[in-house]
Amino acid sequence: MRILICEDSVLLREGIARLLTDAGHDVVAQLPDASALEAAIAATDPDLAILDVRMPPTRTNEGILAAIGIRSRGDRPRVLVLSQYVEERYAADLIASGPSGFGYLLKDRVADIRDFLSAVEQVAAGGTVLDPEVVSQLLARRRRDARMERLTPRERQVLALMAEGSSNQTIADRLYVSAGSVEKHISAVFQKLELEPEDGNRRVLAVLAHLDAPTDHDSHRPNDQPGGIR
Amino acid sequence: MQRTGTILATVAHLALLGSLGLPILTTIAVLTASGIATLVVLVGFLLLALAMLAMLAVAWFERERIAGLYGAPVPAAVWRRSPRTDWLRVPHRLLRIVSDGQHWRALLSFFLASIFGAITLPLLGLVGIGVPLALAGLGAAETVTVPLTSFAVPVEWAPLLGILALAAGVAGTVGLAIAHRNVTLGLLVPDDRERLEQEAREERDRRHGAVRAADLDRTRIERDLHDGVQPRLVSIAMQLGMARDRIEADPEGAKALIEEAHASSKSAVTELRQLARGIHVAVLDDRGLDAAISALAARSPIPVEVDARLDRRCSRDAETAVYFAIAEAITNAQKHARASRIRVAIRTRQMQDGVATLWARIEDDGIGGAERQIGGGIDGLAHRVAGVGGTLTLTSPAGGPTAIEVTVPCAS
Repeated sequence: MRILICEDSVLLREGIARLLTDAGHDVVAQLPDASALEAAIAATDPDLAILDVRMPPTRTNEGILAAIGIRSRGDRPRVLVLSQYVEERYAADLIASGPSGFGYLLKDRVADIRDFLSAVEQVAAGGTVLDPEVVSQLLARRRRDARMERLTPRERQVLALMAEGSSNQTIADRLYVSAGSVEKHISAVFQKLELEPEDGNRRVLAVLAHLDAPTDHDSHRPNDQPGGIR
Repeated sequence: MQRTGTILATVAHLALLGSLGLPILTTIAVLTASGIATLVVLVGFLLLALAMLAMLAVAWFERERIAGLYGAPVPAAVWRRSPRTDWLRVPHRLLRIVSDGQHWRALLSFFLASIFGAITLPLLGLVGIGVPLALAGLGAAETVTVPLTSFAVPVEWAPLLGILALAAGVAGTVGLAIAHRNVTLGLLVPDDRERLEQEAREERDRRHGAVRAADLDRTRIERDLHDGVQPRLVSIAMQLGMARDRIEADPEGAKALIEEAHASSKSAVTELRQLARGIHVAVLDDRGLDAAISALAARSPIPVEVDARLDRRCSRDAETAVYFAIAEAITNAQKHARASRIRVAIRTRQMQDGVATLWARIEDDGIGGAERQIGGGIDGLAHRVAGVGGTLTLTSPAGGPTAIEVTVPCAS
């Protein structure tokens, strides 16, 4: 597929490009910052844009803003955001910025080449991939939610894997259980969280939206309205 | 009570100021007035600058005079420096100096002393009249002419008048001398409250500088990790991962990747070492500034000439601040100045007021145009130096050369 990379570290940019090229993808543009991003997307029409969060000039959340910009305009290109540190805040902003899938991974995950490549495939296909660290942050925030407390440890594991964007089969493989019992766990989770059962990517987004919804415990936290960066 | 010597010296001062003080002040006033009048044609600026210099000179003279006369703890003139390092530095510094009460108080003290002096002169005249009058009775004349006047008095009154004049003159002069001492010391010697306020202000500036410097330091370390070591480690992991995936299908390619990863890992180690050194410089503690700077110079790709003459060790804080100032200045010269050589001079100096300072100057022959930007390297340096009670000046005209000077108290 056609991929655009926007990352300020030359070393990583080159490395990721090489990795993707080796895997048979076509790296159509490599940018050191987000300034020429719009033009490059218009010129090359990539299937996927891989963005670093922290880029010049401000080195704060350029990549997130760019990703939100791209997502608000439609499904192409899909966006995979790489970040030095993952923050559930940023994930929440990305979730809020569009109905389609996206990827948000810790930069160091690039080193797990196969996982990274499969995340690239998944996001390009419209799926959602979230770094386990983001998911655990989201879950940590909800730990005191009464509905979350009803979940068994096993159901919590299933929820976390679901939130990361894993398919039923992947969850079954990871937990060494049958696909059937994964189904059972999932419907139990949805029931306990009072969510409508969903399939595929919409399921992940539903879970994430639920995890991100402010609760009474969050009411003392400023800037906690969904919608994020202003 | 004052000793007679001091009183006599004070009287001499007053007499001198009585004749010279007012003309000097009048000249300054005239300068100022004409300066304001000619501001429109720009000459005014020159005249006003002259007037200001003259006022500062008078203030300085007054402080020296009082300190010399009474041995009083008159605080030495502080020429406030501006913390700015851009083109506004000079006007800002002038503003700080002009808005500094100590100079105005010294000027006021000079003015009052001149007024006292102007009154002292006729009183001294009385003394001058009194003495010959008192002695005139010894003569044989019928009447005695009062010196300096055309009055004539009968000879039998002369001694009495003379003694009266003498007493009035001496009493007035001594009274003025005592009054002068009290007034001027009240003006020039700060009371405890003022001194404490001043110290608290300095301490607050210092603390602010230290906190800010530490903050900038942490940001710098995080950024160095983020931009340097971490991507390198990630890319090593990537290279190894790719090599592993390919080792059966393409052993040669895998070998090349492992070579790359090997080289990258060695650079990562070097980067980490330099980063650690940037956080804490062990050699500085063990061997002092000279050795630490020599090591710094040896690692620089641009030739660095070090001229260190240090006759003592200073406090760790002072040495660390100066070390990082030099390190940052050298880094800047390498990164931005396109310099071909760098000179570093370091000295310990004994200042007039007995405080030892550590002074360093770093200059390069680069393109200049360095600025102090908020949160930038030089800003961080200035805060770090302020944190140990020192000052930093940067001169970097476009076209170069760039020079950074730091002065910190040795025992900060």
